Amino acid sequence: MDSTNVREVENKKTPIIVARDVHKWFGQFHALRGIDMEVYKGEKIVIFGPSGSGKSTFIRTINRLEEHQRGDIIVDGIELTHDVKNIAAIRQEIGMVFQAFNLFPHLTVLGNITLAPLHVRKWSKEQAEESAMQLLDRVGIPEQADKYPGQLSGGQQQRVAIARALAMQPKIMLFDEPTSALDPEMIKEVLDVMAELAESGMTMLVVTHEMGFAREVCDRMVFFDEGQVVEEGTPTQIFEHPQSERTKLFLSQILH
Amino acid sequence: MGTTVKGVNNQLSSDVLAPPTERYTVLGWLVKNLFSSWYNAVLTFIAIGIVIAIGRPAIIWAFSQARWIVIPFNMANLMVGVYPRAEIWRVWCVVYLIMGLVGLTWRAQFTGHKRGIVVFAAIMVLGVLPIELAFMGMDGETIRTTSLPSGMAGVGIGGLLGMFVGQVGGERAKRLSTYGWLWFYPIAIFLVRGISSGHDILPLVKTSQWGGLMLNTIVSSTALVLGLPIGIIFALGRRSKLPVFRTVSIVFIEFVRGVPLITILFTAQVMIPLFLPEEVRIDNLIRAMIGVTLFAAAYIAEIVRGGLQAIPRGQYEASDALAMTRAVGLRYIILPQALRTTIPMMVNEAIGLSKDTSLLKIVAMMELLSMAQALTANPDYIGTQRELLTFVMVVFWLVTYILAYAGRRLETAQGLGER
Repeated sequence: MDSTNVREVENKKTPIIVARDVHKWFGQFHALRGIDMEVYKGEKIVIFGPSGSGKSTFIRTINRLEEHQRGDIIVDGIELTHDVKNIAAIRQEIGMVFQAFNLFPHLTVLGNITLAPLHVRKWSKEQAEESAMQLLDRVGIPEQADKYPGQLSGGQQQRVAIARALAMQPKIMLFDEPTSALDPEMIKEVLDVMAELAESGMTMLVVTHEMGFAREVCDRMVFFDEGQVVEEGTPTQIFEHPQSERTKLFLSQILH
Repeated sequence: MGTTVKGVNNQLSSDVLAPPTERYTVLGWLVKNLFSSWYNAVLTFIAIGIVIAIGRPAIIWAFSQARWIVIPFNMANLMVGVYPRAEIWRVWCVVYLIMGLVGLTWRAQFTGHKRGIVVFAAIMVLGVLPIELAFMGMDGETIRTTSLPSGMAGVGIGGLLGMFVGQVGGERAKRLSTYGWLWFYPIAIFLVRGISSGHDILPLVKTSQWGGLMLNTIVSSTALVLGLPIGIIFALGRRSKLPVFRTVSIVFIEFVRGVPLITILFTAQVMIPLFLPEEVRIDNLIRAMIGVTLFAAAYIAEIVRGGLQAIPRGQYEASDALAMTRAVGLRYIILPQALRTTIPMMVNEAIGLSKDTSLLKIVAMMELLSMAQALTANPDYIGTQRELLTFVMVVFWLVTYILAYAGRRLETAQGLGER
């Protein structure tokens, strides 16, 4: 499912995310060294690479969970600066799914999903709950609505996390190694949900090691190493004709 | 087809066995825990011997030589100080209100504990009734002074009524129990204080006349109820990235924690009038309450800060990623979790505070302990320090026990310590 797909790039003129020469330091450590990336609406991008290469750091700078020190990031026309209003506007457009789920343990599943729409978008209780139940249906676990996160399996928790992010009706979804903390049995159920989400046209940036998912679902793969974009291309290009030595080395390690 | 390998159990047993049950008898428990081996038995006997040797004089004193009459005779003094006797009914009203609210909260908020009614009835029968009957035995003069029996009946009725409302009220009762406590405080102060000197029903009772256990309770509950939000604000201020808030919070917390409560009470007495214009005279009690409240707030601030630090960073990140403002995130995500974690430490603080109020003696307030000491000056009761002090100790222990029990119930209701 790569570049021949029709539903793929809808608005080729203006990318929905623009990152230009983004640098980030953690103290002395130079984590991101001049990242340039453009993401178009409806694109599904998989970012992969060795640990510590800056993949998670990069997607976290997009919604300001990390602050970049140099370069520009523009999301849906809004520039990401210190201005709190900009940051808030950008965060409303972006949904994020974390490796550790980060569900709110003191609220039920329904409470988790409805919290943000109720208090950020100021929806009514009925509206928020209806939307939440629809989302739970979509991710396949409507019967868990009144349970607490601690009572669910990992795969179910991550699906709730996806529903929670979707509740804000974002334009972009960021996934930070969503399946890395799951058993193999549960990885599939989460990847299926992500595939359905991709099918429906959501713009997705996924940091993952699941190469099967990359091959099946994404439009473009980006290889990160040591804070830089080493190579990018369609899955076919990356898997069959990797250009850089580093890409070849990494692929050989994970695709044994 | 299957070839069964020897030693491998290919059949899943469908028998679900019941877990083994241990049956306890009193004798069985004694044997197992105290007399399980010869040296344990010897140690048990030695321990019993020591307890008897130490306890015997005390028990003999308690049952034959002690003049316990001093306590019921002075119960009014010990409980409310020199509060005008004709107005004590107002204090009883406050007590009924408390019992009603306790019963209400118990049933409305902590559902599922059916034993509550039985426990409450047991307390009433086993605890209160004997006290009542004991007073009946005294002459009429004593009873009129303390008006205890009717008071106790009201306590029981108030509690049961509250429980009834909590049981049938459902959602409204739950909200009533929360707001009821918030409204209770001003109502209670209003009832105790009265309106004005000449008023028919609620004449003014000056704070210099407030005393006894009532005073301890008022001061410690005010300090806790007001200190909690102030403490939360300073805890958040200390963790703030803005330098002004952080510095002010640190200075406040470290300064107030750095001095003993006595010093703070003296300081409040002397310094607060300095900050105000000549005409404005702040009540002595209010000055003391401000001091104790700020003291509590500083310690609570550090407790809350500990709870905030215990929240995983992912919770903050998730709330940020959902575009929640700091305020919304704090209110719905961070503080609920943080405050739950701090319950044991808060109970600790509440217990400490309830006993620290004894220091009010220093600023000329006749609270429970100072009342007990003052009563020994009465020529009728010279030499009754032991009885009075025992009583004070028992009262403080009861208060502490109730606070600790409430804390434990709160933790269970929140499901803490189980995950």
